[in-house]
Amino acid sequence: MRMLRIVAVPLAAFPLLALSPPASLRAVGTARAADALEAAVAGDDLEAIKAMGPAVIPHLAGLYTASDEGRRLRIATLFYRLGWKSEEAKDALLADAHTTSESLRVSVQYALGRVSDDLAVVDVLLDNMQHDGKYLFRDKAACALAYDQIHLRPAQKVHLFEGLIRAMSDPKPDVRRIAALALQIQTGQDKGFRADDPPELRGPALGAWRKWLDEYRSQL
Amino acid sequence: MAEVAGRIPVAALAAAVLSLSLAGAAEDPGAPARAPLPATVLVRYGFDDDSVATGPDTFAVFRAAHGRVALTSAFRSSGYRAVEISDVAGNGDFSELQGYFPEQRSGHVFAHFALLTARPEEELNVALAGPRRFQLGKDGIAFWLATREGRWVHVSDSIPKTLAPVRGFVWYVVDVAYDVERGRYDLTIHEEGQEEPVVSLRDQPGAARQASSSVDAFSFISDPMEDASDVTYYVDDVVIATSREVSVPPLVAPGRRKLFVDAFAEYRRLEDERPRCLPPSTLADLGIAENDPAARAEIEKVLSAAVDAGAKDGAPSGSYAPPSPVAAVAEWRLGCAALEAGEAEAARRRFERAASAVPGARLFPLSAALALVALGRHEEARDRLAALAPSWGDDPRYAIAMGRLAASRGDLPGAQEALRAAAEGGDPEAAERCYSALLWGGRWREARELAMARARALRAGPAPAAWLERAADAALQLRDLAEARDLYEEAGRASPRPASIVLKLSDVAFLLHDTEAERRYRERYYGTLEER
Repeated sequence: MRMLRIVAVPLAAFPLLALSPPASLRAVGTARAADALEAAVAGDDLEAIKAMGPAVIPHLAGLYTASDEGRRLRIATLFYRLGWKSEEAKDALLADAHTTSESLRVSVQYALGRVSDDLAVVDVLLDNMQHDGKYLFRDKAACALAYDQIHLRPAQKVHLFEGLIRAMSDPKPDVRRIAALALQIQTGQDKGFRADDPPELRGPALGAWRKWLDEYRSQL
Repeated sequence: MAEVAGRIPVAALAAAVLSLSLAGAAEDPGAPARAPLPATVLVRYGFDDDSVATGPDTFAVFRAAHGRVALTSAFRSSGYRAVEISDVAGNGDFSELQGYFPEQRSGHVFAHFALLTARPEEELNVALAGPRRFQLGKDGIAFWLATREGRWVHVSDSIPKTLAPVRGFVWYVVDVAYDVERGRYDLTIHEEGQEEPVVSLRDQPGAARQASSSVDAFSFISDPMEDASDVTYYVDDVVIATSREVSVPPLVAPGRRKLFVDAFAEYRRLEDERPRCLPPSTLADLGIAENDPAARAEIEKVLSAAVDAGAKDGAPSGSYAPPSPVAAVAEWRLGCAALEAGEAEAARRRFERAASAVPGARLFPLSAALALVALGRHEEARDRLAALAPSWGDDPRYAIAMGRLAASRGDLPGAQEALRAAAEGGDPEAAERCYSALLWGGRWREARELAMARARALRAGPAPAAWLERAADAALQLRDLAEARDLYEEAGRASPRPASIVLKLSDVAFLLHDTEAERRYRERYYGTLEER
């Protein structure tokens, strides 16, 4: 339904691009639209971008790819605030899912789940949460998994929950802790799991989570 | 809530609960005892009366861009009006009717409402929640019902569970009996024209399987997460009741059981009385030599690590001794955290250890005295403060500590006297506390004069706005309504966040019998429910 609306919306929602002037003028109109988009990005003008409608997202993704780090950061934040699903935005952001720039990485990790329900996004974030060398990136990936996977359907959430429960057996205590916290934020429960408990005490709680996941699956 | 009650079948609520309980018991003799009957109606809305005033004790209306929350007579379950809630996907917001009732921490809470959706395939959500509002967890969402892809769904044990199909343009009557202590509920959904319920569930785990998860709010929304719903639906005959006999205070003004100004005053008093440390103004207060250029950085580093460690490890053993002045500062900071968390005895022990380690740090024993105040050990606090007087002189923080001691003993004139000189000297916290002592002591004229003097002494910006607002609060206590209104308006022009000012202006308008202004100000915050 959303994709149909994205196809249907652009002419009405993005008037400068929607004009159908003669070819020579079309380039001017498109250029003006591009200028308007760049100005909105430069001014962090979310309302102006919203007014352009979801059809603007591929253009925004293109602008992201062609930008320096500062503007990428600004656009990633705009993607986050818009929360509009887009393949182009996802692809653009995934290219920076391992950037070493702290601010850009954190913004990209936060934005990914707000532009996509692709399980590849969940996998990247789970991988960053467990294996990134920097605690900051691991922690913020867990935050993204906890709060920002807004487009996931229940069946897709199984994948997320599986990954979090798996990470709760990670040898790194901080990974166990942030994975458990993400799962708690997602579900409102902890099932008695304590990341710093010895393995023999964590086992029963993990068993309870696996049983819960089986019940979750059975409801799909 | 008679003010906003329409023709609502409260008897039907009782009958629904009774029938649900009896049916369940017949099916399963081993099932938990049936829910008791409703004893007190907390809120009920038929949306037929003229008075459907929004407010903190009725409901708030959030209208998303291009969406709608409005009264309508196009569809209704009873009477002649219902509420229409509609949303447009992708607008970055969602429409919501959010209602409030006195918090219920025990007994059974019954929720009854009628719902009709025009677009069953579009998502809508209904929830009962507690003070942590609409998130999964204890005191968050207790009951969560939704429609997704044409079916009813309830979230139980954090799992969305699919129920019966939803048909468009058909009224459904939903009844929930939520056992607060057990965190479990019974649910029935009746479809218009059918005798048997389309959903009948007993003893379901709450939304996040949390026992003793209290409730004080309900919400009817579209799609708060993905912003993908184009739903239009209708709600009617909302009743929230409890099995307990409770007294529900009457509304004293539209939408509220307490004037906003009184609610803010209560909050202010709680904040004033909350124990907390006073800040250092120099490194010498902490026993660190001023001429040590690396001291500040070292303090920051050690404090950060110490706070983290303290949070994990709890109180150190009795033999613990801070090895350095910097570690003593860390100990003091942990004590401050304990004091704010209400653990005054643990805080006092930390302050004493820090004071023993660095006898020259005058803030540590002052903090210990504040912990004694928080513990109600007033005589010890008085003796401790008396002993500290020479090292503090006329420092405003000492006056504030003395003021806290006096206020804690209920001696508001003593508190005001202790703080007066520091307040007149311009210390902001001393002035605030002096103002509070005057206000709580009923010396409103002096409170107003102090606030006006502070407002005049400060330049433009939020600080004078806060003092203008305080002056207006005092004027309102004096029932000088015109002055209060003028001062709130002046404060509102200067303040970047005028929510409290707007709501207090609504109070003033109410007291001035200006119903139009009362409503205008109130609805700026709580929204409006009007006929479309």
